[in-house]
Amino acid sequence: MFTYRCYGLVIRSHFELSELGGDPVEPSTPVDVDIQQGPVGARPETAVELPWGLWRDGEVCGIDIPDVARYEVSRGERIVVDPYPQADERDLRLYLLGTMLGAILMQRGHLVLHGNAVRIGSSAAVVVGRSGAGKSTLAAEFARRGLDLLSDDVVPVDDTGHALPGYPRIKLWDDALEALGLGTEGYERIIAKRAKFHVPISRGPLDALPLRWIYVLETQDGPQLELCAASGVDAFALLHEHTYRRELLADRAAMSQHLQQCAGIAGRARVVRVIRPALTMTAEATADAILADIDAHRLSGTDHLEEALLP
Amino acid sequence: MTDLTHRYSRRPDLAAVAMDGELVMMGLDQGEYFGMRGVAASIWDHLAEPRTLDELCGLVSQEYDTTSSACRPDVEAFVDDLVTRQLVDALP
Repeated sequence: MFTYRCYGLVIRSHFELSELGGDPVEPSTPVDVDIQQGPVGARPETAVELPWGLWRDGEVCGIDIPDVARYEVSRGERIVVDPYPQADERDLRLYLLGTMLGAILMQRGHLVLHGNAVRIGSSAAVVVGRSGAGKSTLAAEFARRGLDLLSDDVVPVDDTGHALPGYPRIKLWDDALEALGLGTEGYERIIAKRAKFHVPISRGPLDALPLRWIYVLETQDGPQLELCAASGVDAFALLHEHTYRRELLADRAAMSQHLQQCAGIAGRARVVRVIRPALTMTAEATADAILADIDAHRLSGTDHLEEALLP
Repeated sequence: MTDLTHRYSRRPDLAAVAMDGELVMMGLDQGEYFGMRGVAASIWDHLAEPRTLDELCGLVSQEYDTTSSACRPDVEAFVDDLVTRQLVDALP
């Protein structure tokens, strides 16, 4: 058995999950999430069938990934993994640390955003965007500039509007690694067949931080990089679109909770579209624009005092 | 179709929240949400209690500096839309 601390949870796992980092956890610490290997049946008849092999049956949901495993997640506290014969260990971990851990966080009542988070003073900024928008490359650029990353890919936000720190790894494609001058030598492939790599990022332990800025990566045909603040219905639509595995919001109770959470977060954070020129955008220019916007809006919002005390 | 004697009322089981003066609400279908701004959000507010089309047009005309007959086609179309999407019940 292996024990890890991630997203504020103590996770005990039958599988070694080296991505979660090696911070020692006292053996007596109560376990929040148990990851086991065991039999997982087919989708229950009472379950709602969702895209991508996902299903949800009240407080239980699961996924069936051919040649990898069947997974089942219950009540935010237990994941059962049933690997197919000859499943690749990295593929097994990919869904475990992605969709399944995302489902756990959702079941625990968090709004889970698909993006990455960085620490700005005593607050957090999140960058979201579609797959391939350049989120992780931008995260690497922030790290190169010395900012602390809370997490990459999955950012849970609790009901007080705090972003929870995940594990200090960025997932990068080979070309992004080359562009950052890192090369692919020595990094572990995420999926057996694809040229995407885990890049560990050094940082100390971080607390949950109030989420103050949300940037949405988009592109346009024109030559300009523009920032556009969003509010109201528009802000909701952006948060909803960039909610991790939002297919799992399959029943009325979940949809209603999601609505309240998005409204709460939009009420506390500045939501901004970052519209970049498709042909000429760079991670450097995007990072410059976002950091300038953060600087210009440090004192807006509700906690003036807290921000004013920052260096 | 809407008519003059029906009263309309929003379904009580759909959660809605105000965001920056606009309204976001969940729909009946999985993953479906609706946003309402301006006069649409205002009509939705009025539908907290059962209203006839006449009453709605009267309220809208007061708030938006128009006449009841001038706004009727738009109000009617919007209420029809709400009924079609099952966000509002037409009471017998």
